Amino acid sequence: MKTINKVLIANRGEIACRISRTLDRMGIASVGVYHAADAGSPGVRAVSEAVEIDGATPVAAYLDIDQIISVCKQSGIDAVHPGFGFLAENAGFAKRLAREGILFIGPSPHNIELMGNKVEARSFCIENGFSLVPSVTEATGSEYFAEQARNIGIPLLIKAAAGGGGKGMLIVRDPDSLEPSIQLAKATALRAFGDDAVYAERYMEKPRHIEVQVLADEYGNIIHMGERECSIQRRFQKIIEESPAPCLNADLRARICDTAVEIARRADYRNAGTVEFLLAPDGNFFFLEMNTRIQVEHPVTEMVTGIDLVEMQIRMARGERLPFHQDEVKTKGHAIELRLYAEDPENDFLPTTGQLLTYSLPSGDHVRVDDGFTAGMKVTSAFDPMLAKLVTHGTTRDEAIERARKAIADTLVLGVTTNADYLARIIAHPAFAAGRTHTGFIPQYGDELNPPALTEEQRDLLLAAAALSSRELVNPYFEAIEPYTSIGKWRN
Amino acid sequence: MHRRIELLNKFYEVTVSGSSERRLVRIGDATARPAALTGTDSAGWAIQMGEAQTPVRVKTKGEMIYIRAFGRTFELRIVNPVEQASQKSGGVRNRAKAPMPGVVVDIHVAEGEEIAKGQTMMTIESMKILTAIPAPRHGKVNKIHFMPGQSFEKGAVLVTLSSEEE
Amino acid sequence: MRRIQSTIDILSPDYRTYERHNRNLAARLHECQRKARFERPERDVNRLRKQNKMMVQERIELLLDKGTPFLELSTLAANMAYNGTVPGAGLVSGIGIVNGREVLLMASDSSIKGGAWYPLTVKKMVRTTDIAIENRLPMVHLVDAAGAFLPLQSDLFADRYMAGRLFRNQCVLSAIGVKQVALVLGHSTAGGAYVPTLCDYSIMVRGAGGVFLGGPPLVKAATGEDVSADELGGADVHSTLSGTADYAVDNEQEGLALAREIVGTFPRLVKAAIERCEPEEPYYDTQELYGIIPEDIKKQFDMREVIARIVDGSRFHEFKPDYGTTIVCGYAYLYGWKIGLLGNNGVLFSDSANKCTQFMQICNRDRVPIIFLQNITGFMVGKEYEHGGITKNGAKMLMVQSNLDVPKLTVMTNGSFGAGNYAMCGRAFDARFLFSWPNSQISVMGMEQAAKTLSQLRIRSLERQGKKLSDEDILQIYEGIKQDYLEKSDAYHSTSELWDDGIIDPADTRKVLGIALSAALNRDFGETPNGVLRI
Repeated sequence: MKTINKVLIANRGEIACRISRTLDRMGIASVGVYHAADAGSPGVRAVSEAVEIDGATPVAAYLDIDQIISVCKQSGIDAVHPGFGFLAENAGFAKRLAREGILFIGPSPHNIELMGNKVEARSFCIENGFSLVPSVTEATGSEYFAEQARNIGIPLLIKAAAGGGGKGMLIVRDPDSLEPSIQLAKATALRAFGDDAVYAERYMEKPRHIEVQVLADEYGNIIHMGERECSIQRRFQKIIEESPAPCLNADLRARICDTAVEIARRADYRNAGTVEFLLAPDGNFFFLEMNTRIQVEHPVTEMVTGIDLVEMQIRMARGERLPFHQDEVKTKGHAIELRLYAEDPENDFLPTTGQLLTYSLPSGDHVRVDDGFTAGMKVTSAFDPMLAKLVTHGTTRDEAIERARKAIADTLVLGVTTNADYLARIIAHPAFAAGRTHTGFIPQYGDELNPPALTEEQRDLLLAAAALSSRELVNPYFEAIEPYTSIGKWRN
Repeated sequence: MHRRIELLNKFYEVTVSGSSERRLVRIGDATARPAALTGTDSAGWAIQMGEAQTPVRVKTKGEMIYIRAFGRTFELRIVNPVEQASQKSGGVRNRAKAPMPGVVVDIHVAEGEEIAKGQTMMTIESMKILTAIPAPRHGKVNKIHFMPGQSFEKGAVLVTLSSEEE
Repeated sequence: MRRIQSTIDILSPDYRTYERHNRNLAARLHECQRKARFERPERDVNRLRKQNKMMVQERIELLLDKGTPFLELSTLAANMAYNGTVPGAGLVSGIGIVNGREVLLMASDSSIKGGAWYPLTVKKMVRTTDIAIENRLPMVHLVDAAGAFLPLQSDLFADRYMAGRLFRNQCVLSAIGVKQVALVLGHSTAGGAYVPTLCDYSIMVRGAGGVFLGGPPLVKAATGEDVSADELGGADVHSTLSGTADYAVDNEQEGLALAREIVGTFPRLVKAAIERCEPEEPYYDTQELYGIIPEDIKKQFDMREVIARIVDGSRFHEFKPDYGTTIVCGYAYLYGWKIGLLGNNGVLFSDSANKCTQFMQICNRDRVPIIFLQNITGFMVGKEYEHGGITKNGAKMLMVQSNLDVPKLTVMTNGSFGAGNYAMCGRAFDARFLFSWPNSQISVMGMEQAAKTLSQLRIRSLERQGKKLSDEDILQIYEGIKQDYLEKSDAYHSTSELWDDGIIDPADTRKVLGIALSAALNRDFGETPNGVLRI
């Protein structure tokens, strides 16, 4: 058993706050690193000790392995928790830490390398007999790639081999645009991930995105902690997740979860991870990818199982055995997570910036809010635009939805445009309430999710409220005096 | 007082008149209606105009007004009349001139490049001081008249911008 | 304070006749004003459009606060001069609100002969700046004038109160702390170049504004130098090189918005402290004034009925009601301000003159502004009255009235003849503002009398020359003189010559006096302490 007395959180914002909450509870000292852009933020204040790091850009600082390792050595760090994004799935980072004798709270470098490369991960699954969405890689050479891609069938997706998280994917619906799309995807992949390898995959209409949380110790014990459904996505970016998935019967659930565990087992997986599947309407499910990190939407699993995943990660990293068997993992009720983003749904969801003049998030029983902001903070374009995660729990899905509806209605953010009202409209949509969710939900109901046009009366009320709140329009210093005000507009 | 207010990419002329006991608000050319904003920051506000009324949450900062109403969040912007009129023009400020005689140290933009108002286009040195030459308005750099190392007199045109018609 | 009990019967045939007559006069006034403000030859409108210039009325609407009144002065100046080709004398002046502050506006109208200065234009400018000095009103100048109208230069240049007086007034304004902003929207040449330059703040519009002592043609003629207006004295030249102007703006809208912003930096003026209470609308309808003034100037009406339709709540405290009954004196409130009123109800006798003199002294001592409502044919003549000292008593009234410290406002409601005009604060006696009703007439003596006298002179002169005149000839001469006399005593003639600050619709009298009084109170007035003599 290894000792972990001091953990460095190689991350920021919301996840840094969340990880340090568990560290505090476990009595483990926490150290954070931060770029000057994050100075004074809740993430920095949450840790016991914070060290400033530098970089050409704020993001670059958090990707600077050398700097972070030097902080580890200077601060006497036992283990590093990478959160998600940044260096979480960087096998090189994990290896460097191992060389320095510092624990990496996550899977092994080998797990990361295998599953991190999407093409390799798929080959691995094919070799081991797991179902995949029909796909073809570039291995056979680019001339044949386009032809083979065509053979998979249109529509199809071109994806970056070194990518993930929904970035850099292209849908091809027209056979004539296949080759130009391949070229574009390669160029994008090279720019975003430094590797232009791509693969093509059959694009299923209206599949559901079902993922399974797995947890493994070093002794070959692997369990799953139920599934999550993350079908509500916009351009491959998840915005609403829930657990359990509303459409699965017990049998299908068992099969998917067991498959996930089996994949993890074959890969000799350690620590926490998520196996993602696409579930076709006919009940067939196909491996999509595996994420070798804790995920953004982990709170829904925590709320239905009552298990602290970060705590489990730390304990697994320490070398403990899994403290429970599969049949001891019970899920209770239903949880829904809404991702609050600083983006403008009425302006093509472009990221927004500004100051959080009013930042009032809901609280109470059955509501969990994970965020890294406080009122008065500035939201800049330095980092990704997620502001907070609003997670609600209910004994039934309907109850969870109702609590989510109330939570988002109680959310008040002024000064930065957010997608809060958009989230409210999604969960209010009858298709969502009926559980008719699939990855094409947002394109399908796009128009219905637009806000209703303002009536003239509403518009006038808004203008009047703005006018009466503003010193530009209401300022006694610039107001006319009597008798001019009584006379009003008049010409002789 | 009257101002132009921007809401959802449209502009409205809004006039507030009357006294603090009874305010009248006029939108565009419509008749002025009595309006009142009552409440507190913590409990919330309500806006009433004529017969209509609705609860609102309002926060202001400078010329931006953020309002939550009808289950939606809005950003309204009060346009400053001097700035608004100034933008409407064709942009006669096409030239950046030397404030004093000196020599060009560095050039930060290229001909044909789109620049923002205030962006530093050139650094000059004079009397042992380095001075930044900013862009007088948004636009495109047309011609840079002096190269690093070249000297110029006070008032010399250092950079010209393309006029907006080009 | 008791309310005036009106005895007007709005159903009587007389009321109906008067109302029809006065409504027609008011309609004619509004039509003339509309033409003077808005009708321009198409050629001139197109010229302005091509130059990218707004019409002066458009500029004024952008300058003033929305939802506020604008009292335009002398709208019909020069309406009977220069063949009617220079409406308003080519200039708009008036009192309005800019960013909550009362200002006096003076705007050239370049759609009229390019804004050239005619003799009456100069007179109007001098009068406007005099108003600014007397009332301490900040000024906003919208400059867009081609320069003096050369063919009439001898009538506008050399004398004491001609063009030079304008610039002298601007200098005096500056010294007494009255702020001036100028927005140069066109060329301002020669003497005109001083208008913006003498202001505290001068804004010039690029591409349109030009300030130079000699314009390009003059420069070319004088020294052979070829230079464009912009290079010679444009916005950039004066705001960056010479410092003659303070701001350069890209267009008229920006200039007007900037002028507004500058006026917003002026301190809010503190009004002279006089009695003030809550305003109240008149009890009686102001529109009834149309039915009160007879269609024949010789017919009498009760001035109290007029007062009842001007003052707050129609309340009036009449002073010495049973003495000198041909004049009405008393206190009332106008938009909450306490005022003293003097109104004629007939010819002035010794007792009425003395009553006024006593009343005016009280008002002066107690800081009560006075409003004169004129309807006066003159003082009573005849042996009895001369022996009674009518001339002496008239002189006393004149003496006190001329030396009043309190602000004075005058309205010519009907007739204004001879010495009566003087005693009741005519133009020469420095009323802060003086307005005429469209039905009013003004001359040194009544028309009938004067026409008879003049035609007698004419006939005698013709007879001395040996001409033989028939009865018809005599009648023709009389009618001709009468016609000419009528024209010259008409309100339109008087306003054309700037003998008043504008003809007003009688129903607007309350508003006009309210604004005028508010403007007048911007200058505090001193007190010359004296006991009140019971004259």
